[in-house]
Amino acid sequence: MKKSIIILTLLAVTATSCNLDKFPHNQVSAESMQTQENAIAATIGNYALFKATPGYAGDIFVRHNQQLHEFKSDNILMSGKSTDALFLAATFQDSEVDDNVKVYWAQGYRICYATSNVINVIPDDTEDAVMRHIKGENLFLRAMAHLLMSEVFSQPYSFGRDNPGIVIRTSAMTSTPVRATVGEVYDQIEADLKKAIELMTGGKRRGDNGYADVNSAKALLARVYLQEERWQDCIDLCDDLLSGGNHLDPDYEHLFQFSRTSEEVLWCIANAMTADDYIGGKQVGQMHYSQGENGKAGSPGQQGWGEIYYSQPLLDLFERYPNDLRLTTMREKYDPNPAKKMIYWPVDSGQGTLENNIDPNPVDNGDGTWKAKDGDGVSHIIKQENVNSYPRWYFEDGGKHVYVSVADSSGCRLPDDRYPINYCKKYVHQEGNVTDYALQSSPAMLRYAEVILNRAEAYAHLDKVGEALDDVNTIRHRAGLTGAADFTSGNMAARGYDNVLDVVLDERRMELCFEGFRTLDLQRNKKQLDRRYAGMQPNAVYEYNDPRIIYRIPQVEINASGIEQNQR
Amino acid sequence: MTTPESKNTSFPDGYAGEDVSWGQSFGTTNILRYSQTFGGKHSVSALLGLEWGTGWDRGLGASGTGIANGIRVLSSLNPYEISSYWTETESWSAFGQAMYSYMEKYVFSATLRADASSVFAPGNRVGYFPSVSASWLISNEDFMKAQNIISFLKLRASWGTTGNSGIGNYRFYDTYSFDKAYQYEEKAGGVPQTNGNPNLKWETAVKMNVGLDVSVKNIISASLDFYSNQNRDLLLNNPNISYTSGFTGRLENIGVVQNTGVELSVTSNNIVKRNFRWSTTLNIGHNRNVVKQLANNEPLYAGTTTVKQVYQPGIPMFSWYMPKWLGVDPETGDPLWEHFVTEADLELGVYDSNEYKVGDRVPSNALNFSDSQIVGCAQPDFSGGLVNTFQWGNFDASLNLTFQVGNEVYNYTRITLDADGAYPSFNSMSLNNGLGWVRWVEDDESTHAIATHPKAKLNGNKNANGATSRYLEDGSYLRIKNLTLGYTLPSNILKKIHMKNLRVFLSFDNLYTFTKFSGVDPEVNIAGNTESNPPAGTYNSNYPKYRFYSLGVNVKF
Repeated sequence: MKKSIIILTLLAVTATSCNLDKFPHNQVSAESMQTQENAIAATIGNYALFKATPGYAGDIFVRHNQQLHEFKSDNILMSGKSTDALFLAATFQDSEVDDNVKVYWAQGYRICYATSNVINVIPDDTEDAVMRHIKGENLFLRAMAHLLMSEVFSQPYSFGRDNPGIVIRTSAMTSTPVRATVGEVYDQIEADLKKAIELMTGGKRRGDNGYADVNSAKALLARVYLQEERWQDCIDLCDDLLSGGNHLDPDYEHLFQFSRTSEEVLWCIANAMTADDYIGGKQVGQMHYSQGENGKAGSPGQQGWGEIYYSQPLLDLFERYPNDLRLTTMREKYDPNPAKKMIYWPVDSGQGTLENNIDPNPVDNGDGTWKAKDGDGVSHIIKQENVNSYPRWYFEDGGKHVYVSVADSSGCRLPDDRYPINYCKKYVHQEGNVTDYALQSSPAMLRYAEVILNRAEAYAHLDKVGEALDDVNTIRHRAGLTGAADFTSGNMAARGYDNVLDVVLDERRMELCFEGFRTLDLQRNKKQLDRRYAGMQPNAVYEYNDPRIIYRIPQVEINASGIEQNQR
Repeated sequence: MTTPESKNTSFPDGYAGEDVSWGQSFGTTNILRYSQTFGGKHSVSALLGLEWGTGWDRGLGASGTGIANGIRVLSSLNPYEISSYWTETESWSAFGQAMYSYMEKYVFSATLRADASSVFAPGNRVGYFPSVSASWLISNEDFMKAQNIISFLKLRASWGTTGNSGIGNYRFYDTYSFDKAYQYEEKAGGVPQTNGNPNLKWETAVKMNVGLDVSVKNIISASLDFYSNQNRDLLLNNPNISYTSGFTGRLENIGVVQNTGVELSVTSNNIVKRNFRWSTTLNIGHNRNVVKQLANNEPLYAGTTTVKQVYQPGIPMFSWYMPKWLGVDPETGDPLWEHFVTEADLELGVYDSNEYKVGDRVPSNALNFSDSQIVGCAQPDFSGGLVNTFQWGNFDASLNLTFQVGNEVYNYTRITLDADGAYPSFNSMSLNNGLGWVRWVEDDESTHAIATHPKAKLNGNKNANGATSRYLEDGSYLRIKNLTLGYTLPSNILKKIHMKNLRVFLSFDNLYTFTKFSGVDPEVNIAGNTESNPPAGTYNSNYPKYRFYSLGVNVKF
């Protein structure tokens, strides 16, 4: 009995003295990360959040950002169906339960929270030069995240400062979140960027264009001033940035394929040429390109979905000057055959959209006109006329002119398809790779072309026509358009422009297409969004203040915090 | 010449990987027992126990590319990926049990356990779990000994609690992760990963059970059990936190789920003769999992944007939540779904307020105008099995059937493979599958009234292939799970070859499944939680069950 008591006691002592404190070996405590020693590692993580995949490979911030911004614009033709929520955005059927807005909102706030952690542990007056620059970079990233989310989830600044904006996140959450006003959000963004400029002045970029520096912050602030209609502030900042030259990359392919090193790029989200940064489905280029063999467009290709094409109105704008480098180097057709022509024009599909009626074998009448058949077999005479001084092909239908496209024969995605492929190559072939990692890109979020166009628009609003056109022509010269292709106050009217703002907006449209600017450019300038062109997107026109242009706040957020939802 | 190793287009030069895992666990269980009988009638026993366990697991993986034919090790390859992991846990338990029985007719027992685990924060590490049970062996009573029809009758009941700590390690700390996803320009970065919860504690399951075992004349015996289990403080990821915090969820003890059911098992020795025996066993059970409580009692959704299940108090778990498919419009071939008339509809004149009121169900051919509702449940109404065994001389046979009735399976593959033309570059399911599928064809009037599939259109017909109850199918099935035929050598031959036993058998597994399900196999996983994606009960190109034919020999020396 005594022996058993001894054994029992020993066992009891052993058992209760065991150590139940276990700490993970693959993670680091939050406490230890929120210090200056670890600020660099945390900052690397903050950059990575713009392109990191928390779950499904396609759920990354930069991809959703490009799609949410660009896919509602009149630049894109949606050529196929998809179960991905991007299809809902492109066809204006998006709602508060879509995955893309949910992930975009979550990742955006992850960035705001993580950058705030670093910002709040570094004092403004620190003597450590590296820490000053780190704090500046994090302020820039936080401002970028707040700004991009504001553009998606709240009304443009020009509609009023008191409209509901997004939630401002500058420290750990300690109370129920509320939506700040648009004015308050933009004030926070401006304060962050001004502080970032102050801290990064005199410093140096810590690597390639994937890292921010003082000019990245200045360029973003210039964009903010433009949105806030502070024209002179915008011009002054742009003058500062452009004082050393216009920094435009003379080669478009180099600009986009080598965005990490091109002198034109002020900040890009860097993807390395490694398997980790090329997980299937996450590349922004996937929707814009389908890779066949040897870097040529394929249909359907071995890599990429390639369902987004240039819209016909955007192509028509470029076709006014067919040697525009932006068209010849960035646009790719599938299987083009210059020896043959095809003629197509949009017709009602019966499903609320327009589809192309394509005649692959039009007859050349030999006298500068063509004969093309429509879906009912009726032949039309295709003639040319000048519209706003540019040639356009058309046929007469009951007294009206129906405008058509006469183009080199090229292929569609599928044999019976109604949309000839016109891919945009801004997001593929990083560093010239056309086989391995062919759809890789490091999307440029800020570049000098935008700075020049921001200044041009500010000049236009201040009625400084000469200065605005100078900036527009700088862009055009880089695109290979010179001489008669220049815009002057004398030739503007004949080309269909009754004010210089429209010239600037069209140049912005061509230069910055597929980069996420167009929808907001139309909205804040109170222009209609006209999507009456072929594609799977609805055949419709939207007024600048149509509530459907803004996205809905994710329902999971409304459920959790009860913040106000956007009206529809 | 290339070997099969190099055929993967992602790794055209070949790929090889090695994974090693090792670990260690140590456990000790110490039990002290006591038993004593008093006065021939009262029997008492008790036990006291102490357990302690600790363990760690580690793993290391490395892979490389560029493998030459015939090479099987990594040393000549270009490094591709390396990874490793290391986790540790520790736990202890103390428990005691006491049992008392009177005259071997009445038995009572009570238990108390204390469990502690390192996965919880300090202060919440120990959970206490009591239980009691009683049983009454009625057939040992004097009044039962008088008759000889019922040879065994026992009534039993129990109530008990157990704990579950299977939540994964380290969930209560605030941590940063250095996962590869957070590399930038090939440098390692850290980001906030876990929103720690220092209040995490044990999940408790409260189980109640009442059962009756009966045997009639040793021919038929049956067991009937009623049970009601409640799982409380379920450790679920609570996604109902503001994403503006920088996190999308936090592990919390929220949620109560009730699991009730009844199970019947009957075994019958139908024929027992010297040379021929036939017995049957039937198992049948009905089970319902119902959510009782959630954080804020807000509905939670499992699944994707479109294919959803709702978790809501009072609703059975795994309830499908999506627009209801009403069929095909006989006039136009359009798809139709159900919409509930709203105030706004009546105000805007979309529906005439003289004919309709709010909440009326009307058909609509626009998917985004249709409303999501609960349209079915992935849980079956009942399930079970039937086994028949035969023995005739030296031949034996057994037939094992399993069945499940009333579960609704979501056939996810039909979104792309039965899409009325929405995915023109994909293969399509044939409509000639004996399920009465008919496509609406404009020129063929005979299809109009009986159409199950809308008019086909290139690039799809009004989102008819959207995720709705159109693809929710009855997953009931009856499966011939196993048929075995055997022959045992007679004893005189066995003696000659000096064997104790030799039996030859032919066995068929998964011989045939009777079902109206249009996919390959209606048996899908019906276990899951709010993080399951796709949700439990979804069929998505699942591998079918193999049909096995085997021939075997049992030998005993």
